[in-house]
Amino acid sequence: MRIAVEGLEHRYRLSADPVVGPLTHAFEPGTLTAVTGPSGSGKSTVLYLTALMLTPDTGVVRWGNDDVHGLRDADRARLRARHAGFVFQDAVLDLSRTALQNVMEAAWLAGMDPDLARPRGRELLDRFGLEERADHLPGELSGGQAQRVALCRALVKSPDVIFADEPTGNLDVESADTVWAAMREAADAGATVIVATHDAKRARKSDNHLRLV
Amino acid sequence: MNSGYPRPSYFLADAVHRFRRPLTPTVIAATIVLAGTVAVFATTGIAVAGQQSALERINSPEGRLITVTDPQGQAGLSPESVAIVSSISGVEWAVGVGPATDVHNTGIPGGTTQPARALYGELPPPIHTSTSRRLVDGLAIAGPGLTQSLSLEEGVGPITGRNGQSVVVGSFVADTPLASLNSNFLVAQSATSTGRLLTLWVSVSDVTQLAQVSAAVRDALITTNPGVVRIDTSSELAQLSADVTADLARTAQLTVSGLLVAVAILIAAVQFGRVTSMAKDIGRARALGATRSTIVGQIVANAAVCGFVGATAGTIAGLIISAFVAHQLPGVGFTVGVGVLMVLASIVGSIGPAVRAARADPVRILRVP
Repeated sequence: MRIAVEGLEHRYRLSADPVVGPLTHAFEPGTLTAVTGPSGSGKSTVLYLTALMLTPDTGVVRWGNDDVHGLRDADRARLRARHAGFVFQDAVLDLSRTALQNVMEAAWLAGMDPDLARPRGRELLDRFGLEERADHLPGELSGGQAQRVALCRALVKSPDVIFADEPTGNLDVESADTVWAAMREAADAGATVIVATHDAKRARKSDNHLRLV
Repeated sequence: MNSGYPRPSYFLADAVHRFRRPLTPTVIAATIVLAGTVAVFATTGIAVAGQQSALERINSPEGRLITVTDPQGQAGLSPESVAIVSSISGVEWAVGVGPATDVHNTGIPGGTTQPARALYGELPPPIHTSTSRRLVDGLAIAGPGLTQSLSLEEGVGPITGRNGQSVVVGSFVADTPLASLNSNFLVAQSATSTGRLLTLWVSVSDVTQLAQVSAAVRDALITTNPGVVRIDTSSELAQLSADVTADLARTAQLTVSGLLVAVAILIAAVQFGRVTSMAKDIGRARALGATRSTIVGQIVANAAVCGFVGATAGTIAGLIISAFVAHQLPGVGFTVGVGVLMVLASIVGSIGPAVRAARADPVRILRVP
């Protein structure tokens, strides 16, 4: 799904300077776009704006051909549930649920058939080397394992768009490689992948590079 | 294609999961509901049980009785009145008797005499007879010891009085409120006989209907001189019943309302704390596509589960307390009603915190390290 922003501008406080904008950019399907910039340049804000979790002060956000930034909150949430996967800087797992249940959460919220979602979740955990950890609680996982669980959660419903906010910021090199490879693979499979990152080396290997100042 | 909305079964599964993890706030919430439920039983429940006991006593056979009398014997009260009064709605039974006349054993002319009264209507429940024969015109039954007094062999045989001859076919014992008949022979008479009624007893099914039925009985009587007919009811008991019911209903309403409000407020406080500690989970769910209604639904469903567990445990405890303290259990309606209201109080108490949690900005929550 093509995601486009036109003349996007956003302030956290009305009196403050805009954190973002004005920004015009298109994120194409089948590409991995790295959003880079120094701290405070608005990388995460761009991500949350395009993910419809923030409403821009001015400008337009399009998902496909639809101008979606003006939709009601419930409709925006439903779009995320149906089409988007999210990876956060720290895994933000539900500490009370097992790894598999955490992966399933995205499927449950999307209304996915549990008979399809459960095997898909297990398959993803297997793929990322977590088959032995499926029934473990997050407290029993390492940081890298937790982030891989979060990645599985983002991929479980085979989303059209993946938003990742500093997904490798807290990881060792090996785990960071795994996460980037998975996002690369999702892009190659046709998803639109948008990654906010500080990692300039990896950003250079992305299909597109959006630099914020 | 995914619908974008969680399936209804998800809310129940999620609520049950979140009841167990983390356990502390949900146990506190369930304990509040349990305590509220027990408090209702310990106060209102025991009062209701006491009220039921009092009403049962008020609703006794004596309390439900209407007594129609012709004290001077000048009312010309027709025996046909018995059948008419029996057919009035709310009348359980009606039976009438005529004035007492002396009877003796037909085989011993000039022998011992005992009183006999004409009986109009079917034998009512307070009169227990030894014979299975249906009492038709001219057959009689004897009060305790009367057949021996007249030397009737084997307790049966003919008796004779001013109104002619009758045949005693068995004996009877009358309980309250007709125990005064035990000193008489009762001679069955058809409603169309030429006799007259002296006393008519009418039992109503429910003491609260006493006044209405009493008025209907007065209208239904066939009498040549209605002005001298006297009708007595336990109207004071009926009024007392109404007063007791109204007073306890008011007290119960106030107590239960107060406890429900208290439970709702305490649940709200617990849920506020709970949703605050769950902020990250709520922010994550919103990012993953949960709508505000989904968040509200999750929290309210969890409150309903807490309420259900607390109300069930509280109801069991409350019934045990009622049984031990009042030696009587409140009715099913009250018991189920208290449980349902407590679950509703838990739900109502959770709505404020749920809405607040759903309106929180997920971006701010997720960006807090």
